[in-house]
Amino acid sequence: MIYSCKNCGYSSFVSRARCPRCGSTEIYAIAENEGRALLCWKLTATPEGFEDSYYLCLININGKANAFCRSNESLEGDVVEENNGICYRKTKEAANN
Amino acid sequence: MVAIVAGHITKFGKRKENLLQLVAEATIPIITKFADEIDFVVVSNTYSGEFNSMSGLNNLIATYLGMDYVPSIRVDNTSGSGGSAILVGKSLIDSGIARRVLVIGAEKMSEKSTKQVTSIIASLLPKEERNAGLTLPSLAGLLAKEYMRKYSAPRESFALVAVKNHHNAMLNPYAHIQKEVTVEEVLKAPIIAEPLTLYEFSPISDGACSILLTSNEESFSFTERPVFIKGIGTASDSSSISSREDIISLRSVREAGAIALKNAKVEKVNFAELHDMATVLEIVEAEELGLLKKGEGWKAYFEGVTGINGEMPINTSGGLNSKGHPIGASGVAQAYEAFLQLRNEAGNRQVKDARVGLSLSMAGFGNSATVIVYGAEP
Repeated sequence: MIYSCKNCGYSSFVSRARCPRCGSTEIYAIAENEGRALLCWKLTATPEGFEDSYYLCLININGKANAFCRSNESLEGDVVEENNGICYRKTKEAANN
Repeated sequence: MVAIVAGHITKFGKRKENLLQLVAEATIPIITKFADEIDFVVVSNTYSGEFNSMSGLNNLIATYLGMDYVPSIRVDNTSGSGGSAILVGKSLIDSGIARRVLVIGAEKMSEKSTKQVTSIIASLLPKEERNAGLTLPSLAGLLAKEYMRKYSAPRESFALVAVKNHHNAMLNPYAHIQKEVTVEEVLKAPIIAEPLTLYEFSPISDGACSILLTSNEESFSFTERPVFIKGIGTASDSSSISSREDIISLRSVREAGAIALKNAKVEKVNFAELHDMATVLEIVEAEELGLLKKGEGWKAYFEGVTGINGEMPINTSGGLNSKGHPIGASGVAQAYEAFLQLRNEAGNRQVKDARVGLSLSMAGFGNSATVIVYGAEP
């Protein structure tokens, strides 16, 4: 999920009431969740309610916005990000669906 | 213009005292002498609700200190609260609203588990980034990996920051960590956020620190050696890390530093207290502030430049890394270290001929920054 400005097209991983680029308040959610992993690194001191260790990944959603997600493995290439903050490798099977 | 005329600090660490008792320990030596003079109290604290189930902390503190009728406010700007509180205190004096402002920084953190503390502090991130499992320490891992890749910096660069700051803390009786470490020990310690290890992060600490501010004109009636706030700058960046154009630059630090140095009319400082929540931050912040050359700051750590006797001493107190990081107290404690250094009262960690110093109090991961330039002369 990313959020885009209807007026100028600015997109962000985080929701906002107002566009930081043009000031428009017409922000809408887009169900885009496929992108490319830019960098993954392991975290072993994690917050309450999370697994004891996981990989954090910085991903780019279709060239529109950067996002963060976590995975049980270090990811490269095409990934899918779920709304619960988890991402996984995009398989060929998934790509064909 | 405003000066620091008195200061006091508790030992940082896992303390048995509660939050109010820590505040009293840091403050009683000042108010014993100057209680009747103080006309405003600014409290730097962020998590008394989450950590200690206390709200309205500034008023609770004023009452506990027997200053029931002195106006007070609390400043909450996460890890940057201390710098912001000093900014507010200075502004109160500059504007004429107050004449003598007691700035108290305090946090009691150690009653929560590491997982709870990590979670509470991560609440400063937007919910989408928090839900992904992002934390403040994890961002330091990202920064370290990118810094190494971009500037071909060896992994040991960050370890050397920890070695230096652990050494400096050994010279500071108020520091939490009293232990020397070697590069090898740092590298072999448990990984917290890849590639950074345990010794490269600030510990969970309790502590408090207080300073008294007055106008320059009044300062000499309080002490023979006031320390002057020559310049102060504050700046912000997006709290959404994923929205930042350059994920490894600290825009707020760069901008706050430029404003503070311009206001102070100085180009060079003799020492700096930086926000080394993680070792990599000290290097990147020093570069953003122009204390070390951009992209080459890591080299200074192999050459001893940032040691107490080096050309640019950084974190003589031990820094957040080893002195400890009781969130609301840290920025005030940085000012207190500058106060000691510029009065030639820093003991074994004294920087020779220190006349001008700088502190960086940073919120979140550069979400905002306050840079203060201090001088032995106005």
